[in-house]
Amino acid sequence: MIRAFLIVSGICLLSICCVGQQPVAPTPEAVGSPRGENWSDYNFVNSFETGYRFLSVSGNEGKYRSDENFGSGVRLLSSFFSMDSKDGHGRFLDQMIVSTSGLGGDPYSSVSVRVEKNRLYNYNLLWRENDYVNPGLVTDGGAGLHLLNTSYTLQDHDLTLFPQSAVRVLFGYTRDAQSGPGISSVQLFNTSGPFDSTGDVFPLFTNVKRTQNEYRLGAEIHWLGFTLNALHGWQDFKDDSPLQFSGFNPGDNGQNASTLNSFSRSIPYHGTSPYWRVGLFRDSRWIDVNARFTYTAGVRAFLSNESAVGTNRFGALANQQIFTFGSARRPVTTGNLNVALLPASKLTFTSRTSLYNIRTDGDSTFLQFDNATKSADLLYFQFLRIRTVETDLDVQYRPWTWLDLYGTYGYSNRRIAASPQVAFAGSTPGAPYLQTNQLHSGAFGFRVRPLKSLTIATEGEVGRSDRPFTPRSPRDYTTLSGRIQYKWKSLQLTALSNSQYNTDSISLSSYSSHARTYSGSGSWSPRSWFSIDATYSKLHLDTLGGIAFFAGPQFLTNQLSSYVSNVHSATLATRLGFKRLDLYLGYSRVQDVGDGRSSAISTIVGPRLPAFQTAQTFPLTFQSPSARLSVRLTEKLRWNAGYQYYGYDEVFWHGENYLAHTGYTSILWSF
Amino acid sequence: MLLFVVVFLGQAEPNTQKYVGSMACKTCHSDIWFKFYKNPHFKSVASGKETPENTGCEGCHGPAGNHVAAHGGKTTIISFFALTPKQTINACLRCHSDSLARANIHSSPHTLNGVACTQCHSIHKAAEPRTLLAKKQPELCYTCHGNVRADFSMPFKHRVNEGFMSCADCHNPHGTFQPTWRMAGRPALVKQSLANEEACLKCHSDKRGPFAFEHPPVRVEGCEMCHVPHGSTNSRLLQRPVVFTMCLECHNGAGTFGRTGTGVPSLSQSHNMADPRYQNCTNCHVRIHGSNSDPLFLR
Repeated sequence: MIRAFLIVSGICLLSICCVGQQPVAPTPEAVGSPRGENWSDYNFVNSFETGYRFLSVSGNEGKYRSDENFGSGVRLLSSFFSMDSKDGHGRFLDQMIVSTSGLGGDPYSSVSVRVEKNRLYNYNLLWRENDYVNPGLVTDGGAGLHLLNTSYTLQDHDLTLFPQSAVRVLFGYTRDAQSGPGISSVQLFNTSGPFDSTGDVFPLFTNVKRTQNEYRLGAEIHWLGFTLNALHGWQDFKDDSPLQFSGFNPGDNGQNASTLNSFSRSIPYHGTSPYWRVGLFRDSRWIDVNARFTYTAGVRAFLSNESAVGTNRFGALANQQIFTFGSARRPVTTGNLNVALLPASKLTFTSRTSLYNIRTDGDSTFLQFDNATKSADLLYFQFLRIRTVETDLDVQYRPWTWLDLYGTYGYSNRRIAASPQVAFAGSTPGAPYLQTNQLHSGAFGFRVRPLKSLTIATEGEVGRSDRPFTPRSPRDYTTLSGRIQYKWKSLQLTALSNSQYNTDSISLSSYSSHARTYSGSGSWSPRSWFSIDATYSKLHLDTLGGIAFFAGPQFLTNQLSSYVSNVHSATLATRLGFKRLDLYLGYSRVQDVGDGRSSAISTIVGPRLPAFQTAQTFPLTFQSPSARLSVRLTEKLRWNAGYQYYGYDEVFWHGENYLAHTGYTSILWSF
Repeated sequence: MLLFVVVFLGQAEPNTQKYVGSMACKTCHSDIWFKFYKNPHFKSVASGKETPENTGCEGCHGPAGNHVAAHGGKTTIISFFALTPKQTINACLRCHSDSLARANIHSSPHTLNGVACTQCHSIHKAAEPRTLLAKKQPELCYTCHGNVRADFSMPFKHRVNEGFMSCADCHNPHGTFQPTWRMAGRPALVKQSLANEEACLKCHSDKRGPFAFEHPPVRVEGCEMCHVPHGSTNSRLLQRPVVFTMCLECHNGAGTFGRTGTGVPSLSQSHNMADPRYQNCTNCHVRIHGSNSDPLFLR
């Protein structure tokens, strides 16, 4: 045992020399009495962790901020508060749990609250905020831009009245908001407009303002073993992100003399998606029936007003205004019926049937003014309708306690109708183009437990589709997977293999992809003071698709787009506890070795244009070792310190690489 | 007829053991009982109106008469460690079958693979007090899905490891209805939003539409047609490191693909792919998910 411990400790100490994505802070260790403190008829548990984060970055700081974004400063790293009624008969509440993470400046922060009074109400809140750096747009074939902060907040409120009774009332509210600077671009390409057909693209800043509010009201009735759930919701979305520019903008195309002197685009659009969802289900000893119906009436009203003033490539003044308004409607109907028959403890039949029906229509008016020609263009609305019916049947059979067998057959039928439709009244819409795709799929799997601690499971699936929608959609696919799991006391070892092949023939109209995953993981906690977890995965992907494109005036057909990825990923984490001291050491490394080439250009397959060659593979290494020390100073007080290193290294392009040293020191206390 | 015979044979014998009440359990299992008031299952005790088989320790572990008489023992009472996955699920569903979120558990891939409730939930030693998970997400899910950990370790990813999101934001491990995208057969366990849409639209509501001009694969095949939701080498979580190769793989003009069945249109002559600025398709086609004013998604 001691020898094993020494070996493991040695491995752990080695690991400190080498990225784990999981942030080193906040500290997961607990403080205070596990049983909390009693006061009146309640029990209280609380803890707060506050401290200082530090950061040092070399290399591309923008890329670091785009990837991780932890900065420096004082933080409330985490807090936890719980209040429990000891007899379940509190006056106003029986349980309150509040937990927070990352408040006060971390890019990922959250607050969750649960307040509950038995039999009367149950309220849950989850508030989250993510301050992320917009990776920007790659406008020069090289590095992107990483200097734009956008904030995204989400909040979910759910209130259930009478949660333990036969009739429950449900209320809910969700709000998402995105705000902050973003980057966009404008393309003034139009053959009939004042800006010439070769066009130019002008990068511009925008102030992102998007909000979504969703209100929910429903009821759930339990009667005679049936549950009826009816919910009505209103989703309200608004985008009011203005795009304005005044000044001189030469555009992104150095070969094109077009310029932009002023630009404004206002595209406020407002959407409402009221929906109904009705579910009916019953669970009994030998049959489960679960039916659901939803109807969503999506309506979106839009308006766009765009004006651009500049010069065309010959230096002549150009002035263009585009004004669009209208509304789009998209009613969606879905129905589901799932039935599980449980005739014996060894046998289960499950049938699942679904219907999905969606159509889009609406009206739109498009006016594009050219001040010189006074011309205006018509806009054609596009009509899209999808109807999918899917049904499958599962059979699970357990002949012996050590063997499970199951098989599935599935059939899907999808019909797509599409046509352009003239928006103006009195005009005749074109006949819709109809296409139908059918998919037959079958799966078989078994699970064996030759030993109580050993489980071996395998599954295979074959699917045949006769009319995929795009060249990249699954047509003839095969999946195979296997898993071996060994679990004995606190030791768990798992090995996994999975392959997914979409093996169409290789021609311009076809596509082939092979994905294989091999994974192994181990977890061992022999003592309360020691645990170790390790994982290794290899993810292989190779794809080949037919492409056609213009290279200068020449149209190249029968070209191949290839992409090969070989990702090796390993993580190691260990926790050690010595009396007052807890030590965590972790390491994670992700390395895509690509297709093994040593330089970005390799002309073995695909077009010879450099851009296509370099896009065939993307070797990189991303690693992160971390270490954390937590010392229990008193029963209610801990001091913590941690360090984490992030290293990003692309093999063919070094402009994005960075090294980041992050860390923190904090106090975790309970009172 | 055969079905009814099987049903009849499958019925368990009625349990003749006696219920003794939770107070008797407290004598030996005091460590569990004294903090049980913090457990969501304590509601059944606090209610005071539940029948013996639906409350307290015996609500899950069954009548303890023999267990008490034998002074303990794993064989004299229901021990969840000894149950088969199906027995475990049935034991929990006695009370938890009334939730929409768990209504599809019998056809869940987790169930097919023998993953029962107690493999993820720890009733008495939970790391997460609200849902009684044995470990916090995503570590709990990584226990079996180690390959997904690799996905979330990519340089661009949804912020799951950072704690901003959890696996359950997009997945329902208890089973789902069929997806409303692709051919409705796969992927499994992806949670739909309340209006039965793809899970992505709950947060990425600007992509929901409806648009006057929909990019058809978005609606027909779903977001995974172009994106890898877990992690990618591309800043937009695309399936390729650069955008143009992915667009070209569909826009090749060949076959009977696309909205009108005449092939997805190939690029016009003005798109010289030897010129770097045409290699960033979304620089110009800024509304690639759908537009209300331009069929080419330029605005």
